[in-house]
Amino acid sequence: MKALCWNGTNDLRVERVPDPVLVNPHDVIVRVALSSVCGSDLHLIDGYVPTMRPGDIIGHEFLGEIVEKGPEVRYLNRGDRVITISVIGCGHCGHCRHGESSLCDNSNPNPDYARTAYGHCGAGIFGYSHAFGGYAGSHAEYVRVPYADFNAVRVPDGVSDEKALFVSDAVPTGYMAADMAGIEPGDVVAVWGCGGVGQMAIRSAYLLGAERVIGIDRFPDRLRAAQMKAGAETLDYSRVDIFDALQAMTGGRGPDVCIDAVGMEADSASNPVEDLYDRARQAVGLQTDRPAVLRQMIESCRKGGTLSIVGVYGGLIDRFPMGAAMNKGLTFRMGQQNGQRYAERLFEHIRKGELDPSYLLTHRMPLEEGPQGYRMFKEKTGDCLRVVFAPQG
Amino acid sequence: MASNSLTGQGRWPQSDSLRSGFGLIGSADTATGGRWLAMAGGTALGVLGLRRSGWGGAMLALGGAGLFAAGALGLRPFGGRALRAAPDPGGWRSHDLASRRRSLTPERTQAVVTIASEPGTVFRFWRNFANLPKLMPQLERVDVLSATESRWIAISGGKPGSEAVNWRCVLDRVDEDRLLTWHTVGETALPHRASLMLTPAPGDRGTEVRLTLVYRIPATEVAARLGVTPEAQAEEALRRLKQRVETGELATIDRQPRGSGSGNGAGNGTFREAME
Repeated sequence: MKALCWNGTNDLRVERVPDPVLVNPHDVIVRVALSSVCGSDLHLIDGYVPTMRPGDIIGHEFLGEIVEKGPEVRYLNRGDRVITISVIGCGHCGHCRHGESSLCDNSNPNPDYARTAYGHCGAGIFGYSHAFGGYAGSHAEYVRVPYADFNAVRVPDGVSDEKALFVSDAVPTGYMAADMAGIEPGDVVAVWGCGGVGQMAIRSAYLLGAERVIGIDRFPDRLRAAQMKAGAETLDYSRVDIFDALQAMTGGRGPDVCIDAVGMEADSASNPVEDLYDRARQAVGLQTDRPAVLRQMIESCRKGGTLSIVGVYGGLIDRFPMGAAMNKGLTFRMGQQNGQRYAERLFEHIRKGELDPSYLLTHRMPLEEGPQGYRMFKEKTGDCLRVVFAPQG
Repeated sequence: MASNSLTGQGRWPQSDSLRSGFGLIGSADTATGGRWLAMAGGTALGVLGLRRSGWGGAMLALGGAGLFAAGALGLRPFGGRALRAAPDPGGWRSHDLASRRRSLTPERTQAVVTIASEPGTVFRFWRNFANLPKLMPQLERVDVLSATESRWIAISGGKPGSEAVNWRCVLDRVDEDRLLTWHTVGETALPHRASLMLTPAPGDRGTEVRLTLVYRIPATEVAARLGVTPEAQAEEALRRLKQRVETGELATIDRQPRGSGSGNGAGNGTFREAME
């Protein structure tokens, strides 16, 4: 089959590789119909996330049809149209049982890397480096899905492929960001990053009762989508001082909830000195992640407010304003998405017309154009929100 | 997952070796972290010292310089293990304890895991020693000879051509759903005793399972004969036990597709070309 493989920093190639096979009794094989790029793929491509091996197939957000199933798969059948949650859970360990499947004890077959770096190991993720299990990703014609009854979710009739696809990753990530923050009626929510996940966090914040949601980015098309499609008020961080603007918009209180949908490659366009400092330290390995968004959130958030972090961080950060966070009594919630917990609920919102993620799909391409698609996504040209590959042509 | 900002040059240190793939925060990382800490702290102290006048300032500056040098040279300003000797990435927290006791024999290794299941289920699985090769890949098989005796046959010593190790075990204590202890008897190259202890975890969290291995020979010798250190053996056995009991299978990426890694693929567009 064809697959998009990582061969080194900024080296992606479409290659011919063997088809996947059923290995464990709870596996299914999915023929991929749609597979989306995701911002966190860029960290792999750029070489920020270690433990990638040349030849690894990337991609983790996908929809397709089950073509083969293992003998112990109970709830799924050949021919089912499914999305697969990008973060793999086993469905049985204590974490999976408590709806924290991204912390699954069992789905990562290479726990040593993560355990060494983080103390404990989290779940495996499709196409997301060997620290996260080394599973082959979805930018391919076929994917093996382990623990399929738990991770693959049948798409309800009447929900189109384009609407369903992002329930694999972007929608539950955004929804979880809002859900973790414990939004209460009347709350003002600020969302840093208006990419796919930020857009979904904005919509979800409204669904969960936010009074006002403010989207922050610097790309005009993303700000426009946040405003027109997700209903946010918007701020361009390259033009305004975010702290001042947020205080002005919230009567000097600051937002009740601040959501980070950016992660480790944040920049601080408004503060070139800080930006240079972070980039220099990252370049020489003194910090692995750039915490510009975190600093801004801690400073801007209202006293006693909540920070909800779904942007991906990999390692260590520097100049973290712990004093401000502690003295302002802030609550931090964070994590990779637990989509298994939210998928049914999200399909229900989509079916009722309360949520339509399909506008994230701005570009559709055959898999052969994978490298070009990622270039477009990385450089954010052509008003690209998400490029989606159709490996079956 | 979310991320949408991407303009940057820096990156995590990449390494050819996956074992050291975490660079700064990986393998030797408490140690490496200590070095950076020493260097950063030394710089800060030095600057502070130079700003002050008098003896206090001079002492501070001197201390800072010393600390910086210690960090840069890889000495151990904050204690810890030898900086260049990376511990096994599979290291469990009891390693420090184990290595401190290395000079003493017998050597004791302990691993612990919580399994989301009743103690009875876990106990029954382990109690049937014939199951143990499923948990310890270094075993070829275990023959149960009687209610208390078994013969364990290892896969030839981890090195090609080396002789397989066998030993006979006797169960000493069977405390239903709580404790199992056994030890080797007769002539064997790997004399050891072991125990499996089960305790209900608080708040319906399952069962805490503790595996203790006490070898009467050094860990290096065990590794030479068995192809695995006692620490790795205990840890892997519990990891597999947990997966078997909880999910009925072992997570794996065996036999999955991947690219050639050489970049000589089907020759369609590549990202490098696309970026140029």
